[in-house]
Amino acid sequence: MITINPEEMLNEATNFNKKITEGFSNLADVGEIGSGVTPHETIYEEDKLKLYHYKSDSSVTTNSVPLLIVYALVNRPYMADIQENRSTIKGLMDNGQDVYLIDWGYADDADQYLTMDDYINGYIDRCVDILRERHNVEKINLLGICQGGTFSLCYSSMHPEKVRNLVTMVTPVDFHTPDNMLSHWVQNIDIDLLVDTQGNISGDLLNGTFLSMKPYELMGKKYLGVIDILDNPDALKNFMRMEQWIFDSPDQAAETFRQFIKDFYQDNKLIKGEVVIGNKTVDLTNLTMPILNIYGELDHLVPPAASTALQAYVGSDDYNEISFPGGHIGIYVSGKAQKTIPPEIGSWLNLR
Amino acid sequence: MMSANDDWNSDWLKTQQHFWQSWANMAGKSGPNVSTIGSNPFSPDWSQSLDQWWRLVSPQTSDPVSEMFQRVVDTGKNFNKMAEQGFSFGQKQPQEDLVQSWLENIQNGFESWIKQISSNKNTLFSNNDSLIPDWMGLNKGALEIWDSLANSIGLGGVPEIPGLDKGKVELSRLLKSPALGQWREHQQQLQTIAQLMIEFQEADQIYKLAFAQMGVRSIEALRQRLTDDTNKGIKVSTVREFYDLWVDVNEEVYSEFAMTDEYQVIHGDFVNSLMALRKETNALTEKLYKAVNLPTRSEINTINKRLQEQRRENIQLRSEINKLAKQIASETKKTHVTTATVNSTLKEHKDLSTIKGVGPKLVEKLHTQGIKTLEQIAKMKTAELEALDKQIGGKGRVLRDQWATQAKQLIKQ
Repeated sequence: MITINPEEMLNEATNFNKKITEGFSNLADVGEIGSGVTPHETIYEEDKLKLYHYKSDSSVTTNSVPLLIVYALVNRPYMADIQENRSTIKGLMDNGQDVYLIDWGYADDADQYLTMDDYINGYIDRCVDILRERHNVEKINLLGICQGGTFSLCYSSMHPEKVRNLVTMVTPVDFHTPDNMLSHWVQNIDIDLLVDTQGNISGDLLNGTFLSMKPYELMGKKYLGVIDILDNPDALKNFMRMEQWIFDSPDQAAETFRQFIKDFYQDNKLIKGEVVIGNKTVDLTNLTMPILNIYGELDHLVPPAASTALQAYVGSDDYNEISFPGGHIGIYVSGKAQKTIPPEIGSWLNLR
Repeated sequence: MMSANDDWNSDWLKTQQHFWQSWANMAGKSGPNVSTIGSNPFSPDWSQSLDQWWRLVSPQTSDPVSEMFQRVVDTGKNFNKMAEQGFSFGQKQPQEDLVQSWLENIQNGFESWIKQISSNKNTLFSNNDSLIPDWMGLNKGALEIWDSLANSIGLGGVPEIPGLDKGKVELSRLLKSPALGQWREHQQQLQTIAQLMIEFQEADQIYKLAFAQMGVRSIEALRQRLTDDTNKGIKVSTVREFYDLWVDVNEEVYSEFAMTDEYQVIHGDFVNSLMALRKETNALTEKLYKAVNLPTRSEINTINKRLQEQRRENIQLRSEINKLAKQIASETKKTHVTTATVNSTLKEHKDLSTIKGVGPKLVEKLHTQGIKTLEQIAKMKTAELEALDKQIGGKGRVLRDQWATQAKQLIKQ
């Protein structure tokens, strides 16, 4: 039952405008919004790629096997290090890991012929070799996030001799589960025509697509919520950080997008063992190393079923799962996730 | 009622004054005359006020803040428009009819939109979805992404084609006129573009129609939700609560629609027809570029592709060179080791005192006789050994102690 009378409406609208206009001045207090908080150094560069080593401020590192984080080509990796008290990377370090991360940078038109082979058997493999040499180990630990998780699965299947433990977070494996909205949308799109015409797929288009999965919420209601926190500089700063991250979306290299959407999203070849990258076939049964698969129960981008499918296809007899009661992003940035996820990953790795 | 209205009026003026003063302070400029803005509570302009304020203050902000706040203000404007409508209806009729009028108004908006689309008046490249109230802009979220792509990808840059108005395809002249002479190819290309434009227009019409129909369904769902909530005793007592309810209902209706086979098909057709059109217009544009000797995207792509292939080859070669270099380095090391082993073997074999019964004095004597290695002794036949024994005064020990056999064994060790 609606019981709004015009007088209340008047008050509400006036207060609403007042809140916006007065709260606006608080934006000045937000100050500089960085991208990533944990100190790190670049130990290797190639094209636009940078390999970061995160500097530990104490002697907590107990694991002599380095951990390499492979992020998605979508958005930017500082989501895993977004703020002081909400940094997955810091959490992993505090739990004994020596953390490295691949920052892919921003692909531009000159990068459009970068293939999945270039990314996986090229860039990732060279970074892995650098860490193996640097730490004088045969195998390293690998942690893949979202699309980076799928890349890590492919990599580990093609180079199992270099991966000691594999951690995948919110990683799509079976692309044809019935609740996969993104997959549903691309089935009737002529990807060759799209890529041949567009070249790289713009970050704006990707981002817009993600937002249009919940358009009313993400392009509307969310911003009314901001008005309620305009008088809270801390909350506002957190919001701005996330907002900056969401709209900081690099373009995706044309040829990589082509194969990723056609082979993975449209034809679901990963679980069929039919993905060919370079001259190698990706066979998930090659994954005999210990695996830790982490997914969000409320993930609307990569539904849980798309991730948990992994167990059925791998060759490992040390397969483990962590489910988190949150979404695709919350699994990295929510306070609750911070308390549970990095410590669990850390202790899981330290035991292996 | 009149006195209540008067009270409002005075409250309204006060709050408006405060409001404009606060934004005037913010902007650091003198505010507009409060007597001319927002002075009539019966025709509220909350959305417009917000917009005017934002135009004043936004140039003072930095980019990321400005971009974010732009989205806040846009949402705020939509919200205000929703409130304005409700407010206007509330002035004219009893409370209980307010919601019905509100909903009917939204529904009419969608239905007009459907009519507009169906009658093909919804032409391309123009934002004439104006029959939909702006505050329902949130309804167009999903559409806008591809729409903006359609507008930004250069369709606006389609060369002027005789007989082809943007958005209004004149079939008669373009498609029916014979393609002849030196312009035959060009003419054919224009005809192809015209055909693709029609196809895109159709796909666009179907896509928008589906969204408009979804809008009507969302009104039905909202009515249902309001009835359900009333039965449950849930009250909606602010515009904000109404807005939230509207968002929830829309999200539900939309997510159901977006997962249908129908959506998959119309979405794909829309994107594909847009891309087909763009591909062809690109080709035409390239032709024009070539005509004036300017580089084209295709040419740059060719360069990029070759470059990438070359880089791959370089990396491959570099890695092979590294492997070979390591291999050579290890081979060289092995050779060194072998030489060293040989050398050290020879050295050892020079130590004659390893033969049982040979002390420093005998070694000296052997050296005097030119015997410096075990090999020399190992090679000696019986006669030679006897001679050696005499030369060094060995009293028969050379043969008795089997120096030759001993030397052979020592070399082997």
